[in-house]
Amino acid sequence: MEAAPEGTGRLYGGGGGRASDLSTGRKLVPWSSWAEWRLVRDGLFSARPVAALRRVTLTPTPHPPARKFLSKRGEVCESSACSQIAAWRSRGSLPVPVDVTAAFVEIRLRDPFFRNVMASEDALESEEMLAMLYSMAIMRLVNGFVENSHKKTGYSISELSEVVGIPRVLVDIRHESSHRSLPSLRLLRLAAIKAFDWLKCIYWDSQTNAVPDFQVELREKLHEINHFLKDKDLVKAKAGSKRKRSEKLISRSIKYVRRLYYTCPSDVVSVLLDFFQLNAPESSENSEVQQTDSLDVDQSSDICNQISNSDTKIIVAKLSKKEPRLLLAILKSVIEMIETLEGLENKGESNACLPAKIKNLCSHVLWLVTNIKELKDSGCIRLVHEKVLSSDRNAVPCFCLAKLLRKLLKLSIIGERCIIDATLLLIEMASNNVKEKLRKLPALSLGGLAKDSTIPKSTKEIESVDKATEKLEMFKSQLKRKDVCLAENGTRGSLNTIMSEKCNRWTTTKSWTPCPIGMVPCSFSSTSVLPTLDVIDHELKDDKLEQHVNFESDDDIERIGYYSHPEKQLDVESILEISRPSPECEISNMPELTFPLKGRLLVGGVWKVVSEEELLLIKSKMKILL
Amino acid sequence: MAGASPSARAEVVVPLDWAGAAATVSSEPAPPVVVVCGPKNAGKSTFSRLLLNLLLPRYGRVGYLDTDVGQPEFSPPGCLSFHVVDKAFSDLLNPSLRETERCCFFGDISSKRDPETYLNCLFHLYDYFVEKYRCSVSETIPLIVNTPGWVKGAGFDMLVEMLRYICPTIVVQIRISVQSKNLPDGMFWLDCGQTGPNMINIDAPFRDSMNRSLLIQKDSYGMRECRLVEYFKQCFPSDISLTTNKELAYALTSLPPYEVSISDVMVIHLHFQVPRSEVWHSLNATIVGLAISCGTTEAGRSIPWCVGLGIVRGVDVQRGILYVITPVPLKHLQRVDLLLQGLIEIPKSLLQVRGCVSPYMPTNVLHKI
Repeated sequence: MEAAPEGTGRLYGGGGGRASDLSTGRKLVPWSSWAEWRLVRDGLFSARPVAALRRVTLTPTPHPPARKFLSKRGEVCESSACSQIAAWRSRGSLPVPVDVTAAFVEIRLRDPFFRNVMASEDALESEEMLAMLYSMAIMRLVNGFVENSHKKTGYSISELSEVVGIPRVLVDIRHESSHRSLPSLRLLRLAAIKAFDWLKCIYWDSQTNAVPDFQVELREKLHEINHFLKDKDLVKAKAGSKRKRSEKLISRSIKYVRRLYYTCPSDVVSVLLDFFQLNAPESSENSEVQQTDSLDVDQSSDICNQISNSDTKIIVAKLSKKEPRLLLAILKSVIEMIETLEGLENKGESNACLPAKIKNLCSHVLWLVTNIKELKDSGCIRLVHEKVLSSDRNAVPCFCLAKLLRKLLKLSIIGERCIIDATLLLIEMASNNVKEKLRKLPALSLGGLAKDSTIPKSTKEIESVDKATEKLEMFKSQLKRKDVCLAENGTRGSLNTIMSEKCNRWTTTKSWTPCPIGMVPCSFSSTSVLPTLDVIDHELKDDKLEQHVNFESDDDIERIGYYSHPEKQLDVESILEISRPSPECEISNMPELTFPLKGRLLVGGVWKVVSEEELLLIKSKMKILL
Repeated sequence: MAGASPSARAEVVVPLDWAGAAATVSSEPAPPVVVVCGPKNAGKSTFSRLLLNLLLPRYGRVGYLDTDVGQPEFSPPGCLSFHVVDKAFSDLLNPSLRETERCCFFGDISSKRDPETYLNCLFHLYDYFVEKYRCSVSETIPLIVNTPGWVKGAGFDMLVEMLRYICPTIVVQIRISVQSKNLPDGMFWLDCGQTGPNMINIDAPFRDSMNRSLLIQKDSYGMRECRLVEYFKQCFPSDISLTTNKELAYALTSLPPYEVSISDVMVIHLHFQVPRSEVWHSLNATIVGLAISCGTTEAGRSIPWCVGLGIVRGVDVQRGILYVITPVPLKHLQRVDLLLQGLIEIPKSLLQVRGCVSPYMPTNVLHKI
């Protein structure tokens, strides 16, 4: 409507002028990354070939069998997208289009017309109810887009809707259902499809286009740096001014990359790793083993190959002077990559280039560790001990190195020269007390290797040695705690003793490095990482214990009951957690798990309750051991 | 006026009818229970502060039941709380954070989200007051109940319920010039024939040239954000200078948080249904109420006491650890086994730190123009 004043009508801009529709600065959103947003988007639109639905609406057979499979398959993704949006909603700040799209999907999931009714119990049979749901969603859509400006400007809803581009049928339905009789379900279904399409176009597609491709951006910058570096080499002989200019350009690009690194450290690491990998001798032809995002590798692979391995190293070295922890993060990823390759090899996958790849990666390990050492010696990396809290961005807690070391030791190719050298360097860097303990380790594992160098057996041995060290660690930290004597409390039934058992459930974190709210410091590199927030399976089993309890008394009783059976709690959660550890926590943090294990000991694979005397006995034996 | 606190700011001029009302209340023979009600922005909180300053010299300690979850007097937003105040307000116009004696986390800035729970929290706090400060004679102290700007609809119904439950000795109603926006005159919460408490009507203090009440418009969103920022500033010792929000935000990212095992706490979503599988997606980087589930055995109502607010600043699902930032001291924290998630939005200024920007604050977000 040309009469509408500028800037009042359109809320979520559709057509042109995209730049003005984007927020200039940062905005609080309920998703933790665009990847998460994309996943939800794909889920919401998974089950919907629009044409098929349209055809269906013309021939009103309730359950067209041809669509049976499709809807059944799509339903899974759709509903998981909806539950993700439920989580977003609980955080607040959910954009209107997302909210309304989810509403339409949820209603459709309950509409027998769009799905196989037999498939689930929550289908809604009442046409009246469905009509009510559809018209409410449509009403909220129209109001959500225009109501604010309606109040501000006094223009009519239909005028404003036209400016925003909302299909007229939706505006009419809003009017009819709020002021007159409820529109027919047939009409509502058609309108819902229309609304859905409109939302896809106006919000989901526009936002998709607006999200910058981080990896491409980063690659471009890295190429720029590389280019400048080459340039610098060429003009080395020439006069200072030109060289200075290119130096300036380099530092500016590096600054830019650092900014990208702050927003998404793990992406930077994976792109750099890509560069390393792509330059591996035979890797260019088969990329099936390549686990990192190979999505945009294809389109830019020709540029990628221009940066040679050595050039990448120069860039990484330059970057790491400013961001030393980047090296640790890369090292961790390289080791993990070797782990996966080894896994493939052990599975008997016959792939000619596997050993070469591993070898290539191993050389990187040594290079990385050497660089870390250099940075440490020059004071760029400051190693800090536990309990020394530091807000220094370049501080690296000692245990990070220790953990990397453990990871390294677990590799079955420990015999590689590069790896041995890297290991020794790392040991040297790790602080004294760790050093002593660990000095024995490589000796042990190398010994095992010498005996029989075919892989599977020695892996096991190293693992068992590792596990033993972990256990030692755990016992020690457990014994350090004064309240280890939980068993003496005896009476477990009453609430009070349980409260006193729990008197240390909150602690201050022992080591911490500054990291954005919503992220956690990686325990290997102390760089910030976005944690995986999906609930681990076994926790879901306790569903009924931790449901939406809204201050109701009978639920409270159940809750108390839950606490008065600590054994039960132990059985369900902690033991499962211990006995089925994910690879990450297996090696990382046994000491932190002392609580659920209090008073229990792994004896022959079973967690047994032990008395205090028994523990003390172990303690004294441990002293002899140490 | 005679009873005004000497330290009250010079520009605060107390109108005559206010002074009279306050004097009447403070001269009651027995410690009064006063409910202050009236429309939004009419000056309820200001009057309550004035009254509190007046009651203090006589009683030494005054109870204060803070029921405005949107703009609480002493606690961060989203809380209902009971305080025992022994220090006069130096600033009559602005609220200040003080330690609560008892607190319930309602988890939204409007009581309309869940009237029943809201009233239960309120009654729970009032019961606590009666039990502790009314049953034993020696301890008797007066109570001031400040209400949100309830005039109509669901809010009015809640006010009626609340007045019936509390049975105040004095009700002070502030009225503005637009009659339709006032509460009904008289004892609107009682059936006819019942005798009620002392009723005092006073006018909103500011008027324009045509004698219409001037309401003090407040930027409530900005005030709430300020409140939360102030609250989390308490995580640091007062001798650390954190003058700007930027400094505070950076300090919060570097502050070693508290950690607690996931299996040691229970998460309750107060106002939304969240699937179990999504619980950490929902909780990460949000504000939660830290509450104690077992402390409620004394009363029939199972409303957990809240010891304060925290920010779930990170979740490590694999290790089963939650990282929480809170100004609540560790010894009070030990009993906390409930995390209550409401709809108290985390201040954006705390998430935007240069070089340490929260992942929940991306750029290029499609939004309104």
